[in-house]
Amino acid sequence: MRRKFLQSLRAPDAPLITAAIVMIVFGIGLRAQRLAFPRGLTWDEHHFVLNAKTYLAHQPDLNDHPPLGKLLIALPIHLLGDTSLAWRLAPFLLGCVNIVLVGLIAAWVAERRTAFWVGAALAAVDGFLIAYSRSALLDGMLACLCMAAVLTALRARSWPSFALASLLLGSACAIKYSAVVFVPVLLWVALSKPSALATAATLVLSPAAYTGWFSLGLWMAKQPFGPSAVVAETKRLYLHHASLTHWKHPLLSHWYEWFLPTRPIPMRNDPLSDGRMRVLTAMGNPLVWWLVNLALLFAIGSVVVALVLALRRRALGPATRRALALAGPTARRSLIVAAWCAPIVPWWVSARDSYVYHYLPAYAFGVVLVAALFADALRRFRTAAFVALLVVGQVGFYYSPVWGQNPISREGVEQRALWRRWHVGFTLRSPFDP
Amino acid sequence: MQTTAARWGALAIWLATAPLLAFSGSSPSFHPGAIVDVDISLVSSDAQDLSCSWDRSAWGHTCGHRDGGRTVQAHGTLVPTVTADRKTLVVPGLFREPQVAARVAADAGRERDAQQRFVVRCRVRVLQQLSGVQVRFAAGAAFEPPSKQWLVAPLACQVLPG
Repeated sequence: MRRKFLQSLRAPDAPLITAAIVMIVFGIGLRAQRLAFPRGLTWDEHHFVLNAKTYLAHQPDLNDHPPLGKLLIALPIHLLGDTSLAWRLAPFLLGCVNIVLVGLIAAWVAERRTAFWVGAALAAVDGFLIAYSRSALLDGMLACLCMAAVLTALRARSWPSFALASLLLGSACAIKYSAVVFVPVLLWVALSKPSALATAATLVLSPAAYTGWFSLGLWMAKQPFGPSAVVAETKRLYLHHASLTHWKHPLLSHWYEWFLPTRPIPMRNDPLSDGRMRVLTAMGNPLVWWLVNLALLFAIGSVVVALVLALRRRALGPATRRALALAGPTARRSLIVAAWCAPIVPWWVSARDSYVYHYLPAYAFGVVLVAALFADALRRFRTAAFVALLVVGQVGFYYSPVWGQNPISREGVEQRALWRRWHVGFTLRSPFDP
Repeated sequence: MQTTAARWGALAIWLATAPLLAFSGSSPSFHPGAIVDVDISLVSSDAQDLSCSWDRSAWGHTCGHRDGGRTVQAHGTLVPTVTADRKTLVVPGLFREPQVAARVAADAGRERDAQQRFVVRCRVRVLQQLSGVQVRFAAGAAFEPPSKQWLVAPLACQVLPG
């Protein structure tokens, strides 16, 4: 027994897996600790918690998103009572699932088991994902269902299992219908499957799931329900969202600002009697954030290089067929780049007010690309890549007080807000200050 | 094998330094606007001994002296104190706080050596950091060289049971 244990310690990946487990446990701990604090509603929580309670009271939802996110928040409230812990339980649980999903998709992209550990570890110690696991907000749950749909589609071996992916995508749309942008991604995956047409046909289940969830919400709110009611409500919500082009809120940011980012979201600041404070910022792990940009450039670059090489060999046709079939790491990466692009495209082409949290579903796929890049680097430069991963973990530990709402001095927060513009995002300054 | 050992070594260093990073900047600190609890150790004779000298005023408060201690300011209310964690503060009207005043009054007429030291816990609001303040901790002694002091306004004080 002892001999076996010592042997396992000598395995080349053992330190990496140990570090990843530490980061995952730490990340789950940060998400879970004092989840009920504060007992009041913060940031945008009132939009969703109050409307979750209106569903339980059979009253109309006044929020401008489809009902599923609020129904997910409502379920623990129904089971455990109207407490701050119950409000945040569904985002917390799905936030923990996000850790696993990033790992599993990364393992598929890199075709290596170590990529699972790297992906899960990176997702675990990222503040963007942590903040949305600790708050009764929709975007973390949206990212979870989008990733679950893509992963299920990737792993589907037959059209019935692909149908589950379609149902998950329809459910994601029932949280925020911006998830509809993943339809082309799933279609691409479907067309790469052996029975392409039958598989692609299951995508009709997405609107069915969307209609089902929306109807459930309307029924709970004692409003007319059914397909025509859902169409009418969806149209009403769409027109409402399409009109939100005022660009007046100080935390608004354009999609191209998300790469830095220029305006992270300040979620909570609770002063303590000893001069310290408990802070929650939605700013991610800066190193992971910027590595996402780098990994994207790398992935896009490798796709371009592969295409150029194929053109030189006058083998564009086979190369394209290979890419569509998702064979080989380059093609797999290009699919994840597409999954990263999909949630951003609406913000490229429209003038709709946007906030950095609209980047969350795309960002999750960006973390997948970083994990795949790490997995590649681990194959060639094992120790250097391992140390780089440890550095990412250290940055996560350093920022953990402003993600886990641990007591911290103002100076401590200032040290972490690397850029003066981040002072708002780190709650040091009101966004409404001149 | 050697590289695996090196990676375990890196992991050990990583684990050892993680708490330092996670807790860096987490100790309580002073900044303008903060509301902080401070423990101040006093003896009743401090009401006569503690004094400061400063040529300016802040938030309507002045020291009991100016010009390096050469001029007395009758309306000076600032009292220099040292907290349990060795932070030097100037507190306006510290000895007028009801519980502190009562304790000092109880020691009235008692020999200086017979007076028991006590700890007062005050919840204070940090107003600003003053520069150029000279303090002294014994009546008649020379004022110390100018230094920076935090000006704090007491919100409430209680004498802790000895």
